[in-house]
Amino acid sequence: MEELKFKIIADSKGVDATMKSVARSTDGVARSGDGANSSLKNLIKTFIGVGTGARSAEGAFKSLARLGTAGIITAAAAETLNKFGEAIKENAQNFYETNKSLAEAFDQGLKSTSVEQADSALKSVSDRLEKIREDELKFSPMKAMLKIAEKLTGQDFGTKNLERSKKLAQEERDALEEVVATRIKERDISEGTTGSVKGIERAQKANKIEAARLVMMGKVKNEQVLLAQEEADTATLLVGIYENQLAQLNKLNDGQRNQKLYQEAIDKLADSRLQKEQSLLNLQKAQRAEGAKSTQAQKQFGGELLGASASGRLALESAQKQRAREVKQENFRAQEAYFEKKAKAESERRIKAGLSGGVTAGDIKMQEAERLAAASAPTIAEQVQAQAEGISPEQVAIGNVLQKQAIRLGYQAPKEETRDAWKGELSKTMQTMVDTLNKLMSAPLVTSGAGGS
Amino acid sequence: MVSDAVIVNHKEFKQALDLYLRLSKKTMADAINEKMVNVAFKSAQFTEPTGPKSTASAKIRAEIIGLPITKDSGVKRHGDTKFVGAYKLMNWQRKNSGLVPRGNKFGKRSAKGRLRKFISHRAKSAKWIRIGWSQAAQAFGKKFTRGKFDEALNKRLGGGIPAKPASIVEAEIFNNAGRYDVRYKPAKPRTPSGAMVVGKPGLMKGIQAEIKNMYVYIIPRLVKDWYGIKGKIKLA
Repeated sequence: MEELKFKIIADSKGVDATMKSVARSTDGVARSGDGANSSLKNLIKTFIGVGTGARSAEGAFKSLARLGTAGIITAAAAETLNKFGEAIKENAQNFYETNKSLAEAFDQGLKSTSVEQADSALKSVSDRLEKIREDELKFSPMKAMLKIAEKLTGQDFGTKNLERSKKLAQEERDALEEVVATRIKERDISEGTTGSVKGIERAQKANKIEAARLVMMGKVKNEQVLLAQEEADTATLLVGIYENQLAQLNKLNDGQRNQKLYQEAIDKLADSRLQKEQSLLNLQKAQRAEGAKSTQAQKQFGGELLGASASGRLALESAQKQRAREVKQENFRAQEAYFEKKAKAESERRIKAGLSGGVTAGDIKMQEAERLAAASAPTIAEQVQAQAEGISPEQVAIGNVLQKQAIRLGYQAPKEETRDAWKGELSKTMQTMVDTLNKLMSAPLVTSGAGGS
Repeated sequence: MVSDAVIVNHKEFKQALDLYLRLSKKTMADAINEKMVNVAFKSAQFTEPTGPKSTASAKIRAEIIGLPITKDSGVKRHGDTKFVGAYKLMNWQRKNSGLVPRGNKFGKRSAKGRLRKFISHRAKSAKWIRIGWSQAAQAFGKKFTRGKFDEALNKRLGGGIPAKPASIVEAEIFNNAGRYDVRYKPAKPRTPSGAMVVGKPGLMKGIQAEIKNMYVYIIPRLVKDWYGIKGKIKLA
């Protein structure tokens, strides 16, 4: 790319044509206006078509207007008006087409995803603006006259159409220039990010090679941890880069931003964060595996060393015995403390529930033992119930034992009603049978005692 | 591609050119070529010289001296830290150029001297920018009267595309000075260019001067045509 450039693009066709027509008109008016009054001389000046001459030209037309409509359509002015009328017709036809194409180009620019697309939209709007300016150039000699004519006839010749289109095109061009600038910034950001990512990946490869070399040379043993560490470092750096990219994109104007690129940046950041989490997890796993491996190796190594001599073996055995004693004592103390604590809590619970306290550690041990025993040998009924409910027989057995214990300890009332329910039903049935028999038989049936009729 | 340094269809320049075209009897291509050469000459003229005492050098010096001093591996620096930024910058450049970095062994007095040399190297760009504009003018058939340089080098530094008679007339001048970053070996393209800082204001001043030049031609003729008054004007 060139660093500093100055460029001019001009359409000679339009300007030359305008110049020719202006020159011709000027000649004609000048010839016919030799003996005319000062107003017609002023008319000549308007054909030069320079903005600074507009004031005097307007004055000239105003003085012509005083003569009336017939006064304007005289001499060279008639020719000019005809030309202007044709041009106005053409202008009115082109007005809506121009606006439509402008809108399309602008829309294309806003939706663009690359610098080239935005640039082409800008170029198309700029070209359209140039065209509008050329049209304006064509009309400028006659604009003041047309305004007077609009005033006299009360008709709209569309003098403001060009101005409206021009204003719109200028606004759109300014907006698209900003869009192009945004696209360039976006491109720089994404190129910078891509470059950084590539650099990191390259560095990662180099580090992996270096790690493999160190392992080969025997300087490093924990290769997996080294590689996992490398992965984790790279993932962390990538997260930083993508966070930076998103922060830079966030600084751009929301309306002009390339939404696709923005969404991609968000996705990449999310992915990189996940990757980082995964790599950190892998690192932890590798470290743990390495730790276990080294402990095992130490154990084996120590065992081998001690096993090599009689005194070593003796030392190992005595140490193992001492350890076993210690473990036993420690376990005893631990279980005592556990059951004492539980008994105390149970006593408090009973007192709170309005029952008698004084639960001992032995009671708690008994309860635990009952549960364990039940769980180790469930009954057939419990197995059937477990199958029906979809749970394990051990659970059912423990549940039953718990219920029994609750009843025994007074937390729960025994289910007497259900147990005696059949008795009521049976006595009712028996009474019915006795009544029926009494009805059937002449003599009442005596259900108790001995003897007969 | 549109960038900050590419100026296409400068608005005021084009307005003045339109008026100039109407009043002069030249064709559009001839007029544009003439104006482009003038812009190249004037841009070279208005490019600010960068010697050891120039404002550009002062800017570079202020930037280097004011470089932030960060902590190195958690150890805070004590004592005179004025040239620490400069050491780092110079070491960085030595490393890029394939030389061995000197660490912080420049010494206080030596650092001042080395920094002066370093800045003078950086501040040479204005000369190259002017050569670029001379090549732009040469592409339009005009030569600068002073200065002799290697031809191949000159072609690399700048150039232009003259306008030809056609329905769409296009002309451009460009300056490639500062396109390559010579702090690296081999040199690589650099964006944005450091030459922009010195070159772009020069180009803008050149364009403005040529606009004024055109109005000096235009205004007396309009005044004569409209009011019949002859005379010359001088713009400030």
